[in-house]
Amino acid sequence: MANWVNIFPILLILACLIAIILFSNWRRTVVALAVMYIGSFFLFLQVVPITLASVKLISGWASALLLVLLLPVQIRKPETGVRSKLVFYLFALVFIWIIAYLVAKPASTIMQSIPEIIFAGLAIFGTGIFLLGIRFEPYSVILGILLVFSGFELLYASVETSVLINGLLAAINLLMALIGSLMIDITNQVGAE
Amino acid sequence: MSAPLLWIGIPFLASIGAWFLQDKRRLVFYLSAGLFALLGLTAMVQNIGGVIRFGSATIEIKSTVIFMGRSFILENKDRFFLAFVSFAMLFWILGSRISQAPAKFLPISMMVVSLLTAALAVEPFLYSAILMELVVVVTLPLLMSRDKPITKGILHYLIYQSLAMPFILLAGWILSGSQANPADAKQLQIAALLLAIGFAFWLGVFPFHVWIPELAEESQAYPIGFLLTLLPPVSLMIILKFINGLVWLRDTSYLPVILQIVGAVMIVTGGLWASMQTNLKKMFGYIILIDSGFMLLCISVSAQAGLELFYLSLIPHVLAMAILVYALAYFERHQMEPSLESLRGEMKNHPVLFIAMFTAIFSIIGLPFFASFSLHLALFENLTAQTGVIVWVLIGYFCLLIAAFRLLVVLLENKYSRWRISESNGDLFYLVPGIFFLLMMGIFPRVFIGGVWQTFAALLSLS
Repeated sequence: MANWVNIFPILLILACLIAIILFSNWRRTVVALAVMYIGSFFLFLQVVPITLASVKLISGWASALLLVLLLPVQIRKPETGVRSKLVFYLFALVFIWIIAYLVAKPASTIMQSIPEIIFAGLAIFGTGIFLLGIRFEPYSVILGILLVFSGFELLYASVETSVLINGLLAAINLLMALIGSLMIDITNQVGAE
Repeated sequence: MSAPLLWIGIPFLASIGAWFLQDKRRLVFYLSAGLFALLGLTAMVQNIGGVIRFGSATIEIKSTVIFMGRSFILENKDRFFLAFVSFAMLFWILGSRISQAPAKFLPISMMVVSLLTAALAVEPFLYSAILMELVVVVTLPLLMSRDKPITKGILHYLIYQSLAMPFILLAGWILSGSQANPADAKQLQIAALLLAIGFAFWLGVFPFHVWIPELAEESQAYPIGFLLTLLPPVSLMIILKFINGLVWLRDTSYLPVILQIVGAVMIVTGGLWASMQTNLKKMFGYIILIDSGFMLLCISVSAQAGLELFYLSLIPHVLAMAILVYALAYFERHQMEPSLESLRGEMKNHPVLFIAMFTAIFSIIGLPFFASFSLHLALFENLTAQTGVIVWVLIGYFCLLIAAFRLLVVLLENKYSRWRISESNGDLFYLVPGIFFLLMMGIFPRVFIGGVWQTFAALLSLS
């Protein structure tokens, strides 16, 4: 690892990803998402100016805030408590990260970027896809899409430094969270009726 | 004045205005219909780069506008697209009143058209992916309702369409790098793979198609009809523009083969599943897949002929889809369940509606004397070397034909003793000309499809 300091934000990101998948409480899940954006921020700093990295961090936090304001009626996720399932999820996550690690090196050669950033981006992207595959309620879907976008932004920021495109991606993140909050609101209302 | 401001900026601002005037439905209806009629006519008669004269005053229509450092370019060759989306939008606006579409339909649909036009106009191309993602986000409120839970179709639509963006953006980045070194075959292969995945998500190619029938089944017929009718052809136009911009991709020998295989797969899977459906709304979703497959086959054919076939197919496509959507909206208005079971014998009660529906389905299949027959024939003539593709396509259409006959048998059951026309005058005003034009396009294709095309081509200086 060329920049050994990167191990700290990467570990933070991986811990948050485990928390997002395994936590049984919605509120803690969103907090983990918000903390993950801090880890991403430190990686962003190495490839984009601090202003742009801050925009990414703030838009990520704003997305998390929008989601936390309208948490599902059920504060606990529906399928929690089955230990074997959680162990399976953990193994699956580790498997995804191993693949991300193996792909990171050749991908960084093609993208001419820092391998650690590529690894973190692929790990977040893969976890997002995994979340979209295992849970199918509006809240999890929005969370999964936010993870996919967040991972992709990390990959993409290292190769595309256009302010407009990065700004638009941040705006899409926010819009997605807004739509997510609308979906959760509708689900809560219909559930209450 | 610039063309992007006229066809992107004005509809965008109008959609925001219409959103705040939703309560005044009649006013919004007339203003938006007037706006798109005007935009459609302007696209047909006004040269981009020319001037509009008002007495002594002149307004030059420029082709480019710079917005936040990016160019939005609409040139004369884009006027067919501009006329197509403007008139298609006008068609949907006019139908929205009779089919009682929700109040938010007009503002959101105007914004969708504006964003789709922006996606086609933006340079560099990779920004289209972001604009298409914006289209997805904007259309979600149209599909959601406060009194219904969020459905599977909406979530699948959001997931699949959102996944397209990262793949296309990454492909765009690799391609922009490889312009400097076009000999790097490995990078080009990676870019082509990413592009293929992104476009497959956009178009709902098997196995990413589940959201189309699900949305068709779960959502209100009129808004979803608008979305599913407009999104595939416009996505294809954007893909076409992209392919034409990359010489190495356009000239590769495997591109037509891939397009043909994907097109055939869409037609076969769509046809097979349509033949097993008992719900007409879901069947409509599969018909959309079949039609998208047909359009893909058109663009797979050699450059000029394929392009012309694709553009020609848009005319019967919009008409047939509009009739099908109108029929589905009719069921909703009359609280009729769109299932085979509950429609038993209903042909005698709503004969014009069902005749229109069958005319539309037979036109999509391309039966003789129906609208797309001549286009199917021309396509097969161009695909004579690919017998396998033709056989699979015929199997797909045959399956759809089975679905249509199954529906016909159910509808003709002897439930009522007398025939009666239950459709209102407004319905007849929409359906009868629809049937007439679909049949005329089939019987006199040179006049009704070729004629419309030649008028367009002459006005737009395409020929």
